[in-house]
Amino acid sequence: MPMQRALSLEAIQRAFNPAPLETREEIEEFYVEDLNATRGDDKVGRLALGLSRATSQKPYKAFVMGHAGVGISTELSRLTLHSKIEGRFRTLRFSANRDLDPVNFKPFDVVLIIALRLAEETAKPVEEGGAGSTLPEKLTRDLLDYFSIEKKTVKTSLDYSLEANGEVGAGAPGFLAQFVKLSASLKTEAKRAAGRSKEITEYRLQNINQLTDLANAIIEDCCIRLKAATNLEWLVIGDDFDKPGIPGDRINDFFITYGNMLSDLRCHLILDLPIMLGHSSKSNLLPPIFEGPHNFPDTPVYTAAHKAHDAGRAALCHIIERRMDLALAEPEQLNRLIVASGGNLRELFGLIIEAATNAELRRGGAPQITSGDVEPAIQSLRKEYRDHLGENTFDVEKVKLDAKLAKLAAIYTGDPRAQFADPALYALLHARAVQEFNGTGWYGVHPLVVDLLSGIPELAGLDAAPREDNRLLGGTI
Amino acid sequence: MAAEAEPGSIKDTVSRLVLWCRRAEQGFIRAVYHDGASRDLVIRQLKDRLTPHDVAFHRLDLPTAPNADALALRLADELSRLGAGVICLTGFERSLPPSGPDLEEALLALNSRRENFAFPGQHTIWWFPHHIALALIREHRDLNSWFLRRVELTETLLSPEEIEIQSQHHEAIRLSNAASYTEAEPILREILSTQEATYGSEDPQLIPALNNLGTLLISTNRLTEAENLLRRSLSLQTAKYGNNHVITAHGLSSLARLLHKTSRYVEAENLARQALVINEEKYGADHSAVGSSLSLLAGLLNEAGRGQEAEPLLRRALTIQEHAFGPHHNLVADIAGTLGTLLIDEKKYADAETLLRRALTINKESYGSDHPIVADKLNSLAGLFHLTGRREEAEETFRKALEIDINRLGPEHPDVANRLYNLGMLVFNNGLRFEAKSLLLQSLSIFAASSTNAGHFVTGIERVARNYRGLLILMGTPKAEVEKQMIELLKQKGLSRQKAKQLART
Repeated sequence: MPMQRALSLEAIQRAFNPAPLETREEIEEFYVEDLNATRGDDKVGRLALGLSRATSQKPYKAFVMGHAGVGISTELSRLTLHSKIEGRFRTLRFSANRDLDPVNFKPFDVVLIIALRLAEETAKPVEEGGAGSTLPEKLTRDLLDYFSIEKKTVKTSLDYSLEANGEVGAGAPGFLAQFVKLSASLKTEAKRAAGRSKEITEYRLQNINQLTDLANAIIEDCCIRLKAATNLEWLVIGDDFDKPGIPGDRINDFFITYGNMLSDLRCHLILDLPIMLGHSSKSNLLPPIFEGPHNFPDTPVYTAAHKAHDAGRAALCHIIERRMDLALAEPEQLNRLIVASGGNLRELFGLIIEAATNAELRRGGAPQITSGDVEPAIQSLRKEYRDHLGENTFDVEKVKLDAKLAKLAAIYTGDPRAQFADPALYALLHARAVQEFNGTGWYGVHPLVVDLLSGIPELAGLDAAPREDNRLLGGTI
Repeated sequence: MAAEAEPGSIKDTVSRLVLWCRRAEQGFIRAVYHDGASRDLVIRQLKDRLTPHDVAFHRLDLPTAPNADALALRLADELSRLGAGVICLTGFERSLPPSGPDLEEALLALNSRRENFAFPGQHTIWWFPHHIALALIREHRDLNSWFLRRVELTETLLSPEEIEIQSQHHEAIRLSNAASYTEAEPILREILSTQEATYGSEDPQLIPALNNLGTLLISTNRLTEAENLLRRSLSLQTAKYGNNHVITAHGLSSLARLLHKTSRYVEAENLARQALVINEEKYGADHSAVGSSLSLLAGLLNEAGRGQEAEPLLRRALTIQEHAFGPHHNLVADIAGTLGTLLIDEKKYADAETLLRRALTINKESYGSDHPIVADKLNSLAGLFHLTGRREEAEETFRKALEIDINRLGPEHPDVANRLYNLGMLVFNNGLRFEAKSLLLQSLSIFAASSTNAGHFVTGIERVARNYRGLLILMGTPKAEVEKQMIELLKQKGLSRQKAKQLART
């Protein structure tokens, strides 16, 4: 059922579905341009410009990144609909979570998935966005031969067995059907790589150049055939590599160790980079051919001086207005929720739904979100920030709570030394206790965390910080 | 304008969940609870509130899996099977360790595959115990916020001490499921002794500890103590709940399983039939509890040589459990395995092999390749290979089963004796009499020691004794000498002269 603007409390839950906006209709109805404007530099415009300047001989490649919940996927949807893009490119999107086994995938899985998906999409009729032609016989045969030889060499049974039944040099009728079968098997295997034998993995890593050449030949062929049939070029977008569930060694392997393989792919390619990698010293090792990383920052609700950021709050309010009748909440209550969300859309949506639920469960009174509905929603989220801030094993280097608090105090007071990256900053960025904003790239403390800091008056560095009603400025309202 | 109920209360939590199920199109909610009793009450009330609105309602226990990756994949498979509706996902406390790297690994696997858990029209309520929810918030913040809706059930029905005992039980069950019996046992003994000291030995609060420890002792072949505990448990269950309660049925079934192990088929059958009647009356003919009772009864009948009676019961049980849990559940594997062995006896080898391979695959996916339950299926499959003349496959498979059981259960376990016997018969048929003699002797020794410990002949000993005796005679030892040697051996293993004579003359 398409998403609809909520005109009653009952409809709020559905209207604030946090799934990325994908279609032109969804974007026209629910996206607000001023969100992009308040984030500063127009990243989508920049990506579109880069793509418009690229040629098929020199494909465009870029990394994008941002914290979870800032809406990168929606921004990438906007890119595909951008005026500079839509008439020149056809987009293929794949997801690290949906198309790969995020824990066990190998770099060759990504290359194979891109090649196989492009072959599949290019084979579709022109009116469905393809080129209306299948892979040439030679390439199909090369692919079947590769996996046939692999099967014979490795001589192992796979849990998710490859059904490449074609013999070496297969040319018999029906080999296209074999290709379809092989393609389906390889895609399943990429999604369930945990079941793949060590021997297969080792074999492919040893022969990765051959496999990459093969995939590249397929990719190049697909690009040529699409261009010939439709005058469009393939643009490949890989999403969800930023999900923290993907182990660090997979990320390093993919983006750094095998970075050259990504550089060599003969198609336009935009990849979603994990922000922790983008912020780390290892970012220097990223393949230089890739532009960026383009960072989609949070939407500020405060300025660096802890004053209300009117433009940021207004943009967020416009987003809410697209999804619900503002009369469903007392005027000041939405502003409170906006501030408590720290400008993160996912958290803002969660807070609104929670407050609406409280309003529905409340006995009597107007069918409207009131202060009494908003307060417990904010409290509950604040408690999670508190629980998350302690020491945890996710931090790359274990960071003590005292070090985190000192860093928070320094960032809050605008100490320039606090802007230099160290394990404490990474840990706080991961915890979203610290946010990164546009323009000069400044860091700020999340309003819910400012509330928590207010409760530690003895914390060094904050003793001289201005307060109102004994609370630090820049907290929830 | 007061809220309808205290935040975090059972009533408030039910109301929030009902509202979410009715308002949201689909999605996930993270529900934290502090005691299982209040969680179960919320689940029951939620079901009662939603069922009249024709909402499909399921409770899904986190599947058993040998590692974190397999757990995530199996969960996705189970969810896809259920289709649209409300799903209460429980069992994290029994499937995941309470802390440490293994918990971290499991949460990582769930986090990274979370997109695979989304199916159209599904409202999935992930019930996390408080300690796991804290780990989630601390270590996997993005997974936590993936749950756009989050509720915390803070009202408890149990005292803090009871909650602690409950969590210890869960940990012991988790360890037992992983065949880590030596780690699970002290936890259960500690619970039992603490509770006995606090409440006395006749208090119904002892029932879970008696049951869980009794079941563990069956797995580790300490049958006399197990029987003592299970009989105590049954007596407390009957006193508290009466003769016709489903909890009493559970106790009857546990004891029947033990009696089955010690060849007391008549009493075992009697108890299993009582349990079946209770479950049919309370739940109706198609409930999974009835499926379990049917499976138990059929297993007993089959072991007692009444395969014709057992087969229809097993087929009915298979249908029930497939419907209740889907085709890949361990309960389905258990029945498929038993039915497979029954069909071997009926010489329906092709069907038997299909069923046994199916059971083996499910068990491997659940427990990994080196679990005693997997060894059990390998043993049955090897038996089939033997009977169908595939002797090389049979020997390899028997040896694999034997290796697993020695590693996981220890060399003195009756299951090891059983594998040794099967292997012995196979090598005998291959003409290797001396090796066969050695294997059967080892088997008989283990069975005899187990029977001494149990106070009854354990299942299988008579068959081994008969064949060992026959083999020695075949190899030229005079009958009187064979009996004399066997009586001496059996007496050395602790059996009375009378029982030793009985076996030696089988």
